[in-house]
Amino acid sequence: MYTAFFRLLIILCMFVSRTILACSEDGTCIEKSSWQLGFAFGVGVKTNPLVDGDNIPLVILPDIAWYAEKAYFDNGELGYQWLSQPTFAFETFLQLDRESAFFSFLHPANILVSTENAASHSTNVSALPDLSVSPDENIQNNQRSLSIDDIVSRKWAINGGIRGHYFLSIGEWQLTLQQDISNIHQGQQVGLEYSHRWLWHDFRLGLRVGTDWKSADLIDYYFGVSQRDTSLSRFYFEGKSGWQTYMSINAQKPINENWSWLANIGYRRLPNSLLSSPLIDQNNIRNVFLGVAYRF
Amino acid sequence: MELRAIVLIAGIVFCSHVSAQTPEWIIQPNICVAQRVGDECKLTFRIETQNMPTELLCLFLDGQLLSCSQQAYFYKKISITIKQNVLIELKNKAQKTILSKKLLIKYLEPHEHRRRIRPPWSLF
Repeated sequence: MYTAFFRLLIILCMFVSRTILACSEDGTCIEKSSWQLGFAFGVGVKTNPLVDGDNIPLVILPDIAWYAEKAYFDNGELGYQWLSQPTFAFETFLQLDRESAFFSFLHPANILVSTENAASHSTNVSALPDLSVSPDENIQNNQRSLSIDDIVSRKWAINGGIRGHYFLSIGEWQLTLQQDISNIHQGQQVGLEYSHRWLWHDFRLGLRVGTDWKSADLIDYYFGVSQRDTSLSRFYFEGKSGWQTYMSINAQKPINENWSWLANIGYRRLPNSLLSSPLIDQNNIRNVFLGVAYRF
Repeated sequence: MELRAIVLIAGIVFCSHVSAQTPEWIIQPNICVAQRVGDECKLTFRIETQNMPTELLCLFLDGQLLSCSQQAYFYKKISITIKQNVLIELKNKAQKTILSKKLLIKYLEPHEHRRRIRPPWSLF
């Protein structure tokens, strides 16, 4: 999967001009003190890495944003930008911990489509673990798996975060720190992301590559299994901190003033420390969507 | 045949007479230029009228009374301060609108934009 992405990236770099996008030329900017609303309709899917998790069909993707002079709300994130300069920006924000989206279909992250997904799950405690094989093999063989319907529900945590931006002429770096402020798991996460945009004729292309470090507290709360979940000790799993790397490509081609074609593809790899959790069935999350977007 | 010609000519004369009686006005200038969105803009304009009814007519700016004059003869320039487009109306004593026109505000600096923090339609 990674190889395919990098090949696609190289092709993009070869054939796409390095046109710098002005703020008003694409949908990444918004007029101050205004709302930006949109819906995308199409076909797509998000895979679900949890045991027995159904993939999420992507049919309608809303886009809801409001920006004032400093404050903003953007697809579930409420924040205040303290510094906004041509080269640097810095904000603090609140958002629901997107990790909990794995455990609740109605989580906003599944509706506002910003990150990993959640799904419904069937009840199933499968075969006993085979300790003679590696965790990866365990996952492939779907052994020692535990359905989330058989464990205690995971609460929605609220994260407080700080994010810094460094803008280049044709790209942007982001560094994000988040801390659970709702005292649900008391975990932290740190994210580093690079995003790049191109304008090729009237095609707007975007690439994002990043990695998130998630603390042991966070991972253990969501993906750990202990006495709180089951009395069967063979399912016990203690989550450890780990890195999630991801990459996504977004393409848009305007049809008219309001409508545009939209295509998205994304891949996120779960940390190795998570792969032996009995709740995890796949070591990655994949997204793909193709459709049309309407901007009000 | 002669009767038709007479009716036609009479019709043309009548119509032109009616047309000449239609109230008209020219408001100049009718666009105010401000520096940026939210700034106040002072607009000083003059009104030239034609074919006004011989009665007291009053000017209203977005419903607020500005000035009244017999036969809408406003010989002095009128100054107003606006922050958005406004509607100027000429009404008679019975509050019937005789004429109306929108006064526009334009900006030297376009609307300020912010970068969106989260990319729209992003799946991650």
